[in-house]
Formats: sequence, structure tokens, C-alpha cells
Amino acid sequence: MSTPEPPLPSDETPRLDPPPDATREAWDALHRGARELHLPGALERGVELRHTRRCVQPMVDALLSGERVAATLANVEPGGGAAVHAAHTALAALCVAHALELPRASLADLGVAALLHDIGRGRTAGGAAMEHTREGVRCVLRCTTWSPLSLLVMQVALTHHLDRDAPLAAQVVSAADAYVSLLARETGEEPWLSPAGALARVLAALRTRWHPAIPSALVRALGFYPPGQVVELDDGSCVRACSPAADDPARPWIARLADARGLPVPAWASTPTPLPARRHVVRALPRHEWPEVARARPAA
Amino acid sequence: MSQEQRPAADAPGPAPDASASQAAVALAEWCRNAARWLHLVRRLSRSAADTLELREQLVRELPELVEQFGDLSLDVTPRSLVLDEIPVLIADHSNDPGGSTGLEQELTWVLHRDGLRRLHFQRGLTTADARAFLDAVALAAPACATHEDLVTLLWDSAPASVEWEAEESSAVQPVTRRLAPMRAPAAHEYDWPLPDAPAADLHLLWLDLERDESAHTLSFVEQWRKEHAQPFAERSAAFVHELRARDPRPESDAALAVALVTWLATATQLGDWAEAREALSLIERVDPERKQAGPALEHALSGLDAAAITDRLDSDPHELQAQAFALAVRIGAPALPLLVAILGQSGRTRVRAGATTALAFAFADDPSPLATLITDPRWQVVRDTVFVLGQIGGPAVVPLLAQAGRHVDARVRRAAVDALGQVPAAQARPALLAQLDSPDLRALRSALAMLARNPDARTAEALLSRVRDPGFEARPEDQRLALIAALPDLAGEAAVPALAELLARGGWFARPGPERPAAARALQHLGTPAAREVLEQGRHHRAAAVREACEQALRGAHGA
Repeated sequence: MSTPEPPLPSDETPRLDPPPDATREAWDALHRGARELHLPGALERGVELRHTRRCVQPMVDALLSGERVAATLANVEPGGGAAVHAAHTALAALCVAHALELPRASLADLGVAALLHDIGRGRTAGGAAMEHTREGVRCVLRCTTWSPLSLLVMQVALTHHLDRDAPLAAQVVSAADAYVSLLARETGEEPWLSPAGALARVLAALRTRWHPAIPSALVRALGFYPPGQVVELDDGSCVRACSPAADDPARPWIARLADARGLPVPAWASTPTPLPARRHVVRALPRHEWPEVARARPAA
Repeated sequence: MSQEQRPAADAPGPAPDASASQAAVALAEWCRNAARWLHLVRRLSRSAADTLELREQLVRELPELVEQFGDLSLDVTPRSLVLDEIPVLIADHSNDPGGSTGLEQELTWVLHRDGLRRLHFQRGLTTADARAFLDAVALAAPACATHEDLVTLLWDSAPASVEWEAEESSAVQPVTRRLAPMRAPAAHEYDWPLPDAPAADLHLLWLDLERDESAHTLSFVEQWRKEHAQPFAERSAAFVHELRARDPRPESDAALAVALVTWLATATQLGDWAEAREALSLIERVDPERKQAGPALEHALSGLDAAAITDRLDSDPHELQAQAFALAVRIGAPALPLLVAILGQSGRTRVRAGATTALAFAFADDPSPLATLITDPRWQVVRDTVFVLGQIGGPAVVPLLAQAGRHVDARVRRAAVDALGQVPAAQARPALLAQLDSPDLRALRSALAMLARNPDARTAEALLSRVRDPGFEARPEDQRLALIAALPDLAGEAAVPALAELLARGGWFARPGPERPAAARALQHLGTPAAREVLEQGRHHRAAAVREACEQALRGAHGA
């Protein structure tokens, strides 16, 4: 079993593999937007959601142009702040929604809603566990105008923990939130789940909460081996899954970590590539079996 | 595309300058038409025939310009559009009655407001691109109180050959930028417990999921479309219902009421009266006493672009105008600034009449908020307010009408006197008696007519005191005659001595003049024995003028 590592002291997101420029810029915009929205007192000063859409638009465009934006989800880890969680959830929700073939404008709106889905968290003084959903609605009510977008944001904030009764947008965000949350979850008693482990638990226990199209879209968006997952190939080498192939969730793009002899692969040789046709994944490794190079937490 | 890429800037010599200049001239003409079109959109709506016709002309011309002159890059400032350092459009709002607010209605400002700083019309631009661009501009134009953002609208419509550069790509409101740059981030608490169920075998699970994936995705898309096809008002109502069921606390209702007010304001700004009505219904359901919504409504409605709303109303059909004013009546006092703006700015009599009627209904119970309008610098507004006060009637409006009766503009004073006829006579009397000194004949006559409906001793005394006043002779003749003619009705028998005095004034040296016959006619009209006695005596007066006046009066009586 792996030793739990201390949470990062800052809100910065570490990068495992440098993503393409478009993806990086899109992630920066998304993360910057999330950070500004989650700054203490930001909502109290008023937010125009119509402008917040612009934080999400670059990510939507990157997604639609075929960039492997899901790779950024490899950076999900325990100890991230609320803004990082919001940005990761938004990204995962966008990937799921894209797999569901939602139109471009809907993707942008969904992204904004996902950025704000947990905005009520941290604003409640105790109370019921789901109090943050109601508080989230109150935050949005107070900080912006009533519009189709703010209505969607409030619907998602209020119902993203409901079973099946929620609007579809809330269900998509709910699935993304569940995956990101389980992936970032780590307590003294519970080990830090691997991406594949988190996905397997989400699908095993929670998939009936959502519309039946959402679990399969989640698998399409993340693959059997979600971004960041370390897997063993049939040649005995060890690779990290970066993002799923568009048409086959079983065949991720990979970055090599260790060769068949267990020797680390130099950085220049670990550029993400499609899984070679002659190779296949044997198994996803639990986090405690990851090679040292994969477990090492890169600098922020 | 940058200016270096334009053929006009690439080629050396005078030809490029000439080409650039030609492009600027042609584009300036297009921009002027676009600015005119935007004004039409404001005034008549996007779908009006005139608006559509001009838009189609613009849609045809823009691709032709790009085809002729190559890529066109426009720098956008709040007051101008600049092509290669040559201004092609300068916002002209210098004559706008609203002053600097007029700039907000200009094309330059609409483009600049949401962060657009540079526009590129590129080769290959199609009419569809041009139409998408113009439609986005039209949708964003009234954005001062709406949720439309031009950059997002352009992004949504994605015209292939229109590029743009925008400021504030992070796009969170500037207010949030004033915060300290990086405070400690809030740590996130994860709210999904680790499921007890064992992890699924993804491969096995996928076989199950994949089998029905297509059908499920189709069902999802269908349900998504259905959800989003539901009218916004219905979705809003359903959400309000759900939220209140889940969170019945008063503080939530308070926040909800205030937020719904923003919806009402937006719908009002857009002239969507049906949606505004839905918003108001929800507000009334959530906050029936308007504890929170009242102040919010006042704030929101006073901040609307009333000029745009008025322009729209002026061109709306009667049914929509009626809907607008019915809504204003339901809103009540908070709608006052908007109604006043319509009164002051509308060029249509029907619209102003609608506004006054709405004011009369909205303030029937408590007209005191209308007091501020009596001091409005626009006489038309004061006159219309006076008309409203007259429609409301009752004792509460008397002080306001009395104040209006002292207005510098005679038209307002006349309206005030007319309106005083709608209030109880005893309460109206002091204000009407004050009009006896009015220099305006019409106001004086109206006041006398009103007073004649319920004459009493105070009225008689006031009128007689004016007639006996030494300054009476100095008043204009028609005023003197009006006062004399009113004496029989207002003072009755008590007027006989004063009329007799007027009749015989001058004694032996009495000369013909207008007052003397008027006094004789008044006595004849009074018709009492004392009055007839005075006339009979007058027939034998030593002065011919007195005798003649009495004879005429008596002849007139017999003739009648």
C-alpha cells in the first residue's frame, strides 16, 4: 500500500506531462476563472456569468478540435483547493458532455455550471451534509442576475447530489464531481485511489443515480484507464495512460515510464503516443504498485 | 489579420494609400449604415421590416467590401472604429438629449463594451458570416440590463471569416479583480463518500454499457432537447417551486425575490412583457409583501435604459403597449421612474396616455410619490402628472394640485384647475380661490366655473374683495369682465351693491366702457328684485353711459 503523501501547500496544479499549447492555455483560462470565482468574497462583489463563459470557451474549443484535454485530469490529487476541484470537475464534465454529443453552446454553459457546482461549500456553518447545495443557490442568487445561465448554474448547484430526479446537466456534473472527488479522496483510513480504481467505484456504486447514457459517456471520456493511471502492457513495460483513444476506451494514449526490465524511460522518450497496435494493456496497477517515477509528485 | 497583410499596406507607392483610403471610405459608409441599423433595432426591434431590410443590405455589402479591398481590420474604441489609423465611424451623440448616456446606444460602444478591441473581416467572408456578426451585435445591443455578452454571442455563432480580439479573456467581472491577487485558497471538502460496493470490473461493465450505448445516448439527447425547449419562464417557475420546497427558509425567499427582480428588469428592458409578467407573478408568490422585492424593484427599474424602452413602446402595437402599462400598474410605485421617463420621452400621444392611465391606477391609493413630479423641469411631465392627480382625485391630491396651480407655465396651471374639479369642493376651494389672482384668463375662467358648482360665503367674499380691490382696474379687461360675470353665480344677492357701484361708477362723468354693460348684464342675470331695482334706477341715471347699459341689459332680458 502506498504511503499517503501530504497535500500540496498551494492551489497550483502540478503537471505530469506538458500538454499541448492549446490545451494548456485552455486549462489556464478555466483554472483562472475557477480561482477568481472561488476567491473569498468574490461572489459577494458580484459576478456576471455571461463573462464567466469566456473562461470555458477555450476548453470547449480545444475539446471540439480534438485536443486530448482529458489528459489534464491526470493532475487530480488530494489536497487541492476548491478552485482546482471546480476546474477539474468542469473539465471532466465537458469531456462527458462532449461524449454525449452536446452542442457547443451547451458545453460552455455546462462548464460554467460545473465551475460553480460546489460554490456553497465552505459557506455553511455545519448543518446537514448537503447544506452546501442550498447555500450554493443562495450564493448565485445574491451575486448575479436571473438568466438562463444562472438558472442552469443554480439547478446544478442544487441537485447535483440527487438521484435521477436532477436535470441532465446536473447529472453530468454529478458524475464528473463524483469521479474527481473519489480520485482526490485520501484519508488516514483510506488509501489514495488510482484513477481506474476511482472510476470503477463510481460506476459500480453510483451509476444508477444518473441517466444510463452518462456512465458510458464517462467511460468514453476517461477510458478504462483514466488519465494518470499507470498500467502494465503485455510486453511487461509500464506506462501512464494520458487520455483515451477517440474510438476505443481500452486503448489509451500512453507515456512510457519503465521498460520491460523495469528501467526508467528517459523523459525525451516518454512523449504521449497512441498505444501501439501490437500492444495491449494487461492490467491497471493499483497505486502502491506504481513505479517510483510514477508515484513521485512533480513540483508544482 | 494585421494591417501588414493587407494588400493596400504591402505595396509601395501612392496606390496603396489610395486603396486604403478607398477602403476606408467604403467601409465608413457601411459602418454608418450599420450604426443606423442598430438605432432601428433599438427603436423597432430586430424583426421589424425596416430593420430586416437594412440588415440584408449590410449583409450583402460587407462580403463585397472584403472581396474588393481584402482583409479589413477595425480597431474598436468606445467612440470610434478605426481602419488602418483612419476613423471610419465616430459616434455622434453630441445632440443626444441624454448626454453621455447616448454613447451607450452607439455601435462603437456596443462593440467595445464587452471587451471587443479589434475586429477582423477576412477574405472569404460570406453573407452568412456577416449575418451572424450583425445578429450577435443586435442581440448584445441592449445588454445594459441583460445577460447577453457580445464576445460570447460571436463565439456561439462562430462566423468562419470574422475574427476578433477581446480584452478580459478571464472574463470574471472587474470587481473581483480588485481583490488581493492570491489569498489562501479554500480547501475543498469532498462530499462523495467512498462507496461500500466493490470496484466494478470495467471490462465487464463496459460490455453491459456498450450494448445499449447508442439507444441511451439518443434518449439522453432527446431528453436534453426537451429540457432546453421548455420556455425559460416555465423552467424558472419550476425551479422556484423546487427550491422553496427544498429550502423554505425566509432568507432564501428573500434572496430569491431579489434575484427574480433582475429577471423582471431584464425582460422589461427587452420589451418582453409576457416574461416580465411571469417574473412579477413569481416575485409576488415568493415575497407577497414585497419586503425585499420592493426596494430591489425600485433600484432595478430606475436603472433601466428608459429611452430604449420608450422607443420600443412607441413602435409597438397597441396590444403590447397595453401589456406594458398593465404590468406597470401591477408593479406599482417602483415603476414610477420608468413611467415618468416614458411620459417625458415618448413621441406618441397614445403611449403618453397609457403612461398617465397607468400612473393613475398605480398610485390611486397613495399619490404622495407623485409629489416629486410636480417639480420636474419638463412642463409636459408636470401637466400630465396633474392630469393623473385629477384622475386619482380625493383630498390627498389637493396639496399637489395647489402646488401645480402656482407653476410657472400657464398650461400646467390650467390643467391644475381642471384637475381640481375632481376633488371635493371644500378641499379644492382654497386652491381655486388662489386662481382668482391668476394672470391667465383660461385658468381664471376655469377656476370661476369650478367655484360656481358649489358657491359659498367664502367664495363670494373672495370674489367681491377682488372686484372692490383698488388694483381691480389695473387688471386686464377680459379678466375684469370674467370676474364681474361670475358675481351673480358666486356671490348672489351679496353682489348687488358691488355691481351697482360698478354700474354707476363715474357718476355724472360716467363714460362708456366694458365693465358697465357687464355689471348691468350681471344684475340682469341675477334677476332678484334688488338687482332689477338697481337696473330700473339706472335707466334714469344722469349719465348716458349708465342709462344705456341698463337699457341694453333690460332689452336683452326681454329679447330673451
